[in-house]
Amino acid sequence: MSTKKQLSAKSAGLLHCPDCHKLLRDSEVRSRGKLICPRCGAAVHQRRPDSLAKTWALAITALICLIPANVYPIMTLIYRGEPETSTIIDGVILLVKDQAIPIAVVIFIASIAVPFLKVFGLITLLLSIQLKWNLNPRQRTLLYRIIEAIGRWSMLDIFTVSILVALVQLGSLAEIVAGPAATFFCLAVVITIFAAMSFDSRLIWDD
Amino acid sequence: MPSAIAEKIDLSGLTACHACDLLIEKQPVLSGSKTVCPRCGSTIDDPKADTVNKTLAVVVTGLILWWPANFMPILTMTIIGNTSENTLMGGVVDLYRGGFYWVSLVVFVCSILAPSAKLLLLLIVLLHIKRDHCSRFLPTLFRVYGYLDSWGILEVYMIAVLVSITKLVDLAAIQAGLGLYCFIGLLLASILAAVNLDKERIWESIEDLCQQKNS
Repeated sequence: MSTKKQLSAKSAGLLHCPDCHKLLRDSEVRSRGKLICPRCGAAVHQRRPDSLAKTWALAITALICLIPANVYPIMTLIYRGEPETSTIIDGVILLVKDQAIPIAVVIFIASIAVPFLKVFGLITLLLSIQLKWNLNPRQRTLLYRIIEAIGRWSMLDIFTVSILVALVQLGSLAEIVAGPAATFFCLAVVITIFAAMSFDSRLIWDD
Repeated sequence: MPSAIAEKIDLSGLTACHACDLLIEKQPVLSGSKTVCPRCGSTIDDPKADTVNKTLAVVVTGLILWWPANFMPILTMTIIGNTSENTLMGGVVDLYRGGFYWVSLVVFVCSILAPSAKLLLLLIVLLHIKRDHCSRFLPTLFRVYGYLDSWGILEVYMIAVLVSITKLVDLAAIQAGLGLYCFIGLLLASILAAVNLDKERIWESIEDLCQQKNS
């Protein structure tokens, strides 16, 4: 009974569609040499091909992008002719000085904590699979779900820049322009989202 | 050996956890009774009552609010008698003009394209199901909806509006525009559409519709 309960689709020789979750037999989905889901037309794989290699590549790329993203200024405020550039962390410090602690915490979590935690979380998952670490697989699945869910919140700073750049356009009085960090930060966020997508969480449970 | 088992198993009563690949017996479909994977804790199926009608209602609401939310002023700023305002689309255009092509592309996709496309795709798919009409593009359209799921992030944009207000409140007088209220409505409609959507039932409906047509 207990052995039957732990049977995975892969060990039973079955596949399931990544997009519509239909359970399929290998013989049902093979058309012209490719595995295509008969219900939704998606390409079906027992495990996503090269999942670990792709996730590694994207996680490392994101980590590299995060360096210029935090070093370069993300925007410049020109107030009455005096330019004042600020990096992501400067923005948080400024809000703390202005007593806007809750907003400062939100920005710190979304722009600094989440991107780094996401990349290191993914690297932990990758290492745990490749080095066969004896970690609780249920907790690792939870970690993956959290990584998937929080990634979008890092876009907060990019959206803020897009609002401020459009709103603060009063010529010589006050103007806000985006800085080079915006591009790197944007890249880092997009790449971490792709990295989380390319990771196949079923690998956590494979022996 | 495994394939020999595979040919014998009756798949109709079975499903697999998409997160850990465990084979699970399908539970009877009752709205409000969520099936959770016993091994990894991921949600397998979360049936919703009357998903087509409820989702369709909020999708139409969202589409009505689409134009004002995207093109009416969200915030208006005043410094010593000088005013300027921003719209959702204006942020994208100004980033593009400033030479930030990639940033403007990502902001466009995440705040305008993906949320709008999601509503539009749902409208098409749900209307087809409601009118018992199969189109061979239907599965592809609903699949694209799934791909756009991670990119439509209006709730993050909403928080960004609040952050912008906090940042500017010492510098200038900030006023909310009509666009902001419509944007909040659009955001709520998008969230309600996602909450009421029962993807598993929609896939089953699409499969049934198109099989009737083929046979």
